[in-house]
Amino acid sequence: MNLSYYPGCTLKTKSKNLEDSAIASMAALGIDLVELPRWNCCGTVYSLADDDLVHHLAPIRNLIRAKEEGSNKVVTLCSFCYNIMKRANLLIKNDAEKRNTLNSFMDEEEDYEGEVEVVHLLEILRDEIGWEGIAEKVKLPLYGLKVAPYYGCTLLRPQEAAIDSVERPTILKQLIQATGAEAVDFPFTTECCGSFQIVSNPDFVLDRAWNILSSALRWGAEALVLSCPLCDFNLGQRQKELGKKYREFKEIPILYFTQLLALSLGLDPEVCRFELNYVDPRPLLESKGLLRH
Amino acid sequence: MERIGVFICHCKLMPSVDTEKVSEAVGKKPGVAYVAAYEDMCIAPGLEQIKDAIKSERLDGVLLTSCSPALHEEVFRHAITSAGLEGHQMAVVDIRSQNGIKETTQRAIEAIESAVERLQASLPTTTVRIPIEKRALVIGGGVAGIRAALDIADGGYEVILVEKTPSIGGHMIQLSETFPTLDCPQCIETPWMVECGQHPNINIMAYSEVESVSGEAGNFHVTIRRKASYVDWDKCTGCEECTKVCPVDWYAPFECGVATKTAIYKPFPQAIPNKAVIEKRGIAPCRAACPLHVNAQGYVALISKGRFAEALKLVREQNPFPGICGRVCTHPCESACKRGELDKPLAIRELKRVVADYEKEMDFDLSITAPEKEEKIAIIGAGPAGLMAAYELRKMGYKPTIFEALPFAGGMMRVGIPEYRLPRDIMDKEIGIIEKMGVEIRLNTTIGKEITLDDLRRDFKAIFIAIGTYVSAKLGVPGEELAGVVHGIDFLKKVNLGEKAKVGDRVAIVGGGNVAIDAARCAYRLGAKEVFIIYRRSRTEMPASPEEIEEAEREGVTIHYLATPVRILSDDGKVSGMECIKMMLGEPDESGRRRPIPIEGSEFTIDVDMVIPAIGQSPDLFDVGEIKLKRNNTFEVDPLTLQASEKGIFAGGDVVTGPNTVIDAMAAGRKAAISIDRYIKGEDLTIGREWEGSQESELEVSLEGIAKKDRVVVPTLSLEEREKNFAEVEMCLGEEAAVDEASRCLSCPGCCECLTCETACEVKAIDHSMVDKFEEVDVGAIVVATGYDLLPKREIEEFEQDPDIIDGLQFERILCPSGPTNGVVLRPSDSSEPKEVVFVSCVGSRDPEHGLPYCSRVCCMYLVKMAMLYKHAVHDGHAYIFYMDIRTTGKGYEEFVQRAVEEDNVLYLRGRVSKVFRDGDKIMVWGADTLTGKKVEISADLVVLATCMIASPGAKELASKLGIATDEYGFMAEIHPKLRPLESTVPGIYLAGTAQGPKDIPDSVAQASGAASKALELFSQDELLLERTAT
Repeated sequence: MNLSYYPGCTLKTKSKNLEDSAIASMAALGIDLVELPRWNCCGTVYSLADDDLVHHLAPIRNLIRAKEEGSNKVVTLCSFCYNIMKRANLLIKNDAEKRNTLNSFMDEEEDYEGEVEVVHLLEILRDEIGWEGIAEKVKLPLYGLKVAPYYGCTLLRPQEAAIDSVERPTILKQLIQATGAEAVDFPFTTECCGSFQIVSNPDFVLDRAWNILSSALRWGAEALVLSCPLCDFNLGQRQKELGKKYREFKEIPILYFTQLLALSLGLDPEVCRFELNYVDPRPLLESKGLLRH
Repeated sequence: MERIGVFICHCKLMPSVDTEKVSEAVGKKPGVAYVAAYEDMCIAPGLEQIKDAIKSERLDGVLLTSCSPALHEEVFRHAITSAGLEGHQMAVVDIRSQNGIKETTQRAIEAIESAVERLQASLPTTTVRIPIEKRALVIGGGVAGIRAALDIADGGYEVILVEKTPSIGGHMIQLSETFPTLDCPQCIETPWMVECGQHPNINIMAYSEVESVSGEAGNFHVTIRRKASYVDWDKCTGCEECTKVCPVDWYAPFECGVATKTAIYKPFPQAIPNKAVIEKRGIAPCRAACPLHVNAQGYVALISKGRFAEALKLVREQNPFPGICGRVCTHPCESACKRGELDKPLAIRELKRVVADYEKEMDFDLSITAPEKEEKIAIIGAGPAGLMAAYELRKMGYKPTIFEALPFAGGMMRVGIPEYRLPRDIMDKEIGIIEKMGVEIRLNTTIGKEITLDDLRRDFKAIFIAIGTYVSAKLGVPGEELAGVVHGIDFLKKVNLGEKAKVGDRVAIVGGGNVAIDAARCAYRLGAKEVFIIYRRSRTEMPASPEEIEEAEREGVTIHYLATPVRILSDDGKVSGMECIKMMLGEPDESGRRRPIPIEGSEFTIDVDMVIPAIGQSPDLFDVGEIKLKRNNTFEVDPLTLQASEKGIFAGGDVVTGPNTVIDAMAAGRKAAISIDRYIKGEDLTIGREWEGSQESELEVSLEGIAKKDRVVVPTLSLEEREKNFAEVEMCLGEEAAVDEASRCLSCPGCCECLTCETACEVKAIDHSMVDKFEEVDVGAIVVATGYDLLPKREIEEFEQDPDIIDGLQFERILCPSGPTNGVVLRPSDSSEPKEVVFVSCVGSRDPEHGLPYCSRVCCMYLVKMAMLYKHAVHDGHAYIFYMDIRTTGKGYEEFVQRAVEEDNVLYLRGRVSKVFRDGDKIMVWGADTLTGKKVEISADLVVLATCMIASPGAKELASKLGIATDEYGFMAEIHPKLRPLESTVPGIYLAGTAQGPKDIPDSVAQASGAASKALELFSQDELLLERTAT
């Protein structure tokens, strides 16, 4: 089965580990992720200003690209890309006036009415393949690995874009359990990492990272799993500084959910590109006997 | 009708209809003799004009065009009937309610024209007189129901008061103190309750529910279900001797989850009726899952109270081998244990072992009460299946004979299970009772050698074959014939029967079942330096008991998963190694487990000098002639009766199922005994046998609010203590540990049927066989006062589910001086005194997005009352209330709040709470203070949520039975919210209290008296006059 796939900028640069592990694991599950041609940056953040229609052009053009490919669905991996494209799509579907204005402006493009559905890869795993379907394909159950699911914001907020329950989501937990690992619930699982404040107010992000990671550690997590390159950066890249500021901080590896999946499907760890993770998870995986040689 | 008069009323509320145009058009309609347009026809002058016109114009029909008939039809009808016309000669048409329509005049004309035709078609009516049954039914025994019942009863009429819980009193009796007077609700409500109980006109039907209703106002016929309380209330004196001996703790609804009650109980001391009730909701999952239906819940409950001897007696009612099963049973009860969904299942098996070991002298009544029977029965095999069959048959009065090939009885229990799991003295003591009871066991007797099957057919009435499976399956690889290869069962037999068993230095066991693990752990004890297990699937698929696998690993056994042998290597005729190949898991095979597929080129060799294949077993069968077998030499039998293909011959245990467990074999033994008894008597073998063997219980249990607690860890011998000996590894739990573990039981169905209460009751009031009964009553009026419930906390996901995050009713029980903590404020998780308590308003109310949009009306007041009572009890505590508004609409309410703020230092924070979760010992509350614009984070000890008041559970179903409407939220619907709040949509059925919507006690009581007066109004008439169409 083929699925139109929108990578977004970061997955081609800093987050190649997310992309490579995703493509490989989906191939092992029988799904080919076919990259959209001529895609552009998603626009990053959905503009809340009522009249900032220009900002919506970026995500909508990507959806038009998908429509041109004859796809009725486009799958994304990065939580931010997912969020903006999903909401821009809802705007097009629900607001006739703005839809007209946008389509008229993009006169060089086909008219777009919201024909393409925007989904996040986790939704495909849950709804199209199913957790049992995944568990059946697991060749290397990740027994003994304690993983905390971390959602951040953009997968679950606002409610119209949420892929799961806003307060008590379970989608990542179910994926973790399907791979054979143990899911560790902790209270900060849906708390914001600080997002783009990393640019203007990095100390604030450091504190957020401390709250989130120390909570996960307190509840027994050995690793964190997530879906967003920005969360990965905020929580992963600052860990050395956290260790300097807080004595009791222990480094904790952060994995993309597709890396966890790829490993459990018995794929060669090379496709996970672990060398790109900010905190190398390989020593932990090795100690659990989960790195096949 | 030839002469219809059309009266077009118009008032300021109908500006858009052009009455002149309408008059003109309508006047032309055939049958219309008179048209007049008046303003305000509904008031006296207008009505007079109509009456005059009827007379002067000799009208024989009247059509009023006005606003809705629901408003003024009665008034108009009075007017025209007093002018000499009859009811059916009048109609009202609504031309005012035309919201949004542009052509109002045209519409009015069309409406009037069709109304004229309707009027012309109307048929005469007659008045029917219906006698009124002057008796009332009040549904719901809370404060509103009680007040309504008393008012109607005081008015001189009989009242039946139906209440679904065991006592009247409702939620009010659960409260601590009521606002704003801080009255003790027990003190102010119990006088009314007592009055109800003693009133000659009131018949209280407690623990009862309305089953069905038919009829109409003045004549309702109601069927009431009197639920089985399992206590005869005519005999019960309310002495509570029974509650003293009941071992069960269950979360009774009255205590709202903060405390437990016994399964037989009186809800509270002032209960009316003052009688005991047994809560029994079904069969416990553990008891149902046990293939022998040992009353697991019962014995665990008794252990939790330290009553070990009684517990053992209860086990022995179904299982004569508690010491054996308490050590080796595979515990299907634990897999079914509902506690497993919360944390870990109860250690039910361990607890059985504790009470078995606790007994110093065996106190087991082995006398036979059944009359002795002549018929002889042969049992082949003295394993658990054969021994159990013999035990059951002996109790029935038969004298079975067991034929056993080995020199000892016990079967796989002796041959297969090593001593470090099942000490021989324990086993001998227990299986020794079989011979003590008078069963002959002929050892060293093999069928086909010392005696034949034909001999048995001749000399015995029935035969039960239970010879187990003693032939090891072969690996089928080269090298299997070498001397160092000893198959699993043969190896264990040598070890367990005390023969010399040698092991090599490096031993590999192939297989993943209990035989493999037993062999591995024996090899370790016999001095092997390295022990490996090679298993072809992964750990999840391993059939051996998880505890056994863990112990094997602890003893140093290395398990290679996903591998299988290819050949056994030899050096000089001795085993020198084993070549294996790695596997991966493919699609599931017929057994449902994933098929292992060899990975090409992944061969590897391990150095071993002994190989023990343990990959399966089949029966060592004698010649059975024509009796049908399955492909692996096991018997084909009817699973319901164990009858083999030859009549009179039965088979059970491993010889039918393949290698299986002790408990399943024992269950087969019992099943065979029942079948043989029926066969001998000539009775049908199949009737009534569905309950035999392991079953699933349908019981649902709520795990909400129950704190997690670790399962007991069974002490074991240290590794040093285990080396090179076969001493029992698992030690018995101490008494305290056993009681502690048993206290984790959730008491899923309530009563465990241990029957201790029956013995304790001095007036013999207890009857466990009671069933629900039905009573029929005729009543003229019904008052619905079914009360409220609170929105479950789990519906609002911002708040974690935790024992210290409680709702209003839970905190009321804690604060209540006659409550489970005697009014001492202790938090549920650890019974410590909370110093920081946060109260959160509007949880699930005023919340259109996640909850309910309406205001729950009483929460502002009860939160501040609770905060005050808390501060009175804990002087150095802090109380915080997060609020949006403070609604103090009643008399004395505003002053009450001010007192709390000024005198008791209750701190109000204006803002909402976004998240509440546990962090270690504390509960974190994240909220906002909009008056300072800051976020607030409070590290609390206890959090009380004001959850939205919702309709009582079962309200919708009851409304459906009564035929009355509920509103969109499930509360009983009133026929007009402003003018008729006490009348349901069905005449004769009235509403009172929180059943109609959230409100406080004064309003509930007022409504109750109002509803009562409606019933009394109905009863003040002798007959109901109803208009029916004359036929």
